[in-house]
Amino acid sequence: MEYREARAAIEAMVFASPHPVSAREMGEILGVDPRTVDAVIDDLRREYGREGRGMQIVFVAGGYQMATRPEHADYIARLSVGTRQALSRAALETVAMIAYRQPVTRAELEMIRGVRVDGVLGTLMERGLVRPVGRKKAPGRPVLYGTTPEFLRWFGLSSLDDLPPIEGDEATLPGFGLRSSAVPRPASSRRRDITMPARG
Amino acid sequence: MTGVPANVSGFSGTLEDLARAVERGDVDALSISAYDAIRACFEELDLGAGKPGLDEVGRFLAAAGALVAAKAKALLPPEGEADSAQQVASGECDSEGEGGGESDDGDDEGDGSRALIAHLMEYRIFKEAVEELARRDEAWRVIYLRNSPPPGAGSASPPSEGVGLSDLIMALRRILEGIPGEEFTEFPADDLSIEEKMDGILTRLRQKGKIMFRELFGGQVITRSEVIAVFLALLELIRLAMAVVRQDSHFGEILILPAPAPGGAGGPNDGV
Repeated sequence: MEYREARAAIEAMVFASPHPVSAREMGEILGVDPRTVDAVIDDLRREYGREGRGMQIVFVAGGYQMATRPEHADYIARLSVGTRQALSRAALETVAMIAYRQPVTRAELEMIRGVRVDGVLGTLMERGLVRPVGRKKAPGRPVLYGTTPEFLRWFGLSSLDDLPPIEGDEATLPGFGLRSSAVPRPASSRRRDITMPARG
Repeated sequence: MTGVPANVSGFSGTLEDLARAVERGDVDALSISAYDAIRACFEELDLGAGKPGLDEVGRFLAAAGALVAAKAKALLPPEGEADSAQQVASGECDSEGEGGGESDDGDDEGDGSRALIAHLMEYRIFKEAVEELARRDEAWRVIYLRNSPPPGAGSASPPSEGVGLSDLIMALRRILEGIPGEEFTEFPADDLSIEEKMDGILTRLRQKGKIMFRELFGGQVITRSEVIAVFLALLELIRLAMAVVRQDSHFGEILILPAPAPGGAGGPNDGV
């Protein structure tokens, strides 16, 4: 497949997909290496930027998705597409705790926050940011909560590894410490290598 | 003093009301400054016309004490959990070879302090992480994703293809009509858990892939209360986007299916 053809097809797929679409998925469809897809997307992004287009391609929730640019938000808000309300402080704190400690029970969240979280959990579930992911093997089998792909989209994260790194590990937080795997790696260690293919 | 409003943003009421609200968890104890609230009331008391009476001062002290107690209760780990936290903390130190044995009985107070400090440290660390998430929330609020649900609406529930709530209620009515009437002289409390019923439905979905609506209520002796519980569990699963219902034709079988993964490739009806 020629580069121009692949490039147009990838652009079309990203445009048409209602969900973030991964390089692997597009690569399988086109029969090309996912790294080639990454490189094509990178090329498209540069072109969009160079031409000052109203669209951009963002990498969220493990895939690529078309999005508008923030500078046009006011215009879009005048269309009847609804506006996104900011999360309350309590909701942000709770969703952060779920994101870093998931799966986590309501009681564990309440222990950390020191207040009940029923209402906040309900709000977060209504917004599709968290969901029950199972039950803890403990007396009463309490429900465990985790984040959803919508959480990643909401905050523009590519994956949970993309969460802002936080200070703290088992040594500094004995007894209540985070699992080491829950502490995200620095962003620099997650960069993918993208190699531009020769243009066909 | 009860008439003096607590000068706390986002709260309307007296200092006593505030203390009760904090105790109930209606007001986030960590979002208010007990010092500021009490000081504001004290100044009102001090600047009020004439000397405050003994009753007034007494009520002020009681309300201030209640607020401090409520805030402390909200901040400190519950007693049982503090104990277990101490044990966990001690256990981890031992496993790292630093403790070298059982915790010292005489060091209980120190363990308690350490557990409390760890608890507060974790909360502080999360609060710092929240700052970054708040920035991202702000930044991404002005970016509209292609074909995403309307901002603020969260992920739309997977479509219930061709099935509305009224269809489900009609189907439920037919199920209930098929259950023989029960003569009760009293209503014993049923030990029914919606969550257990949700688990049951999800387990069956995992095993079978799809379930016919009427199958949800078959297979064993089932009471009207159980039917209602199962139905509510199904509605809850739909609300939580963990299951979808589908009806391929008018008056056809209603099928229960697992919800497609929101982040996955999704079916042709997803996001439409």
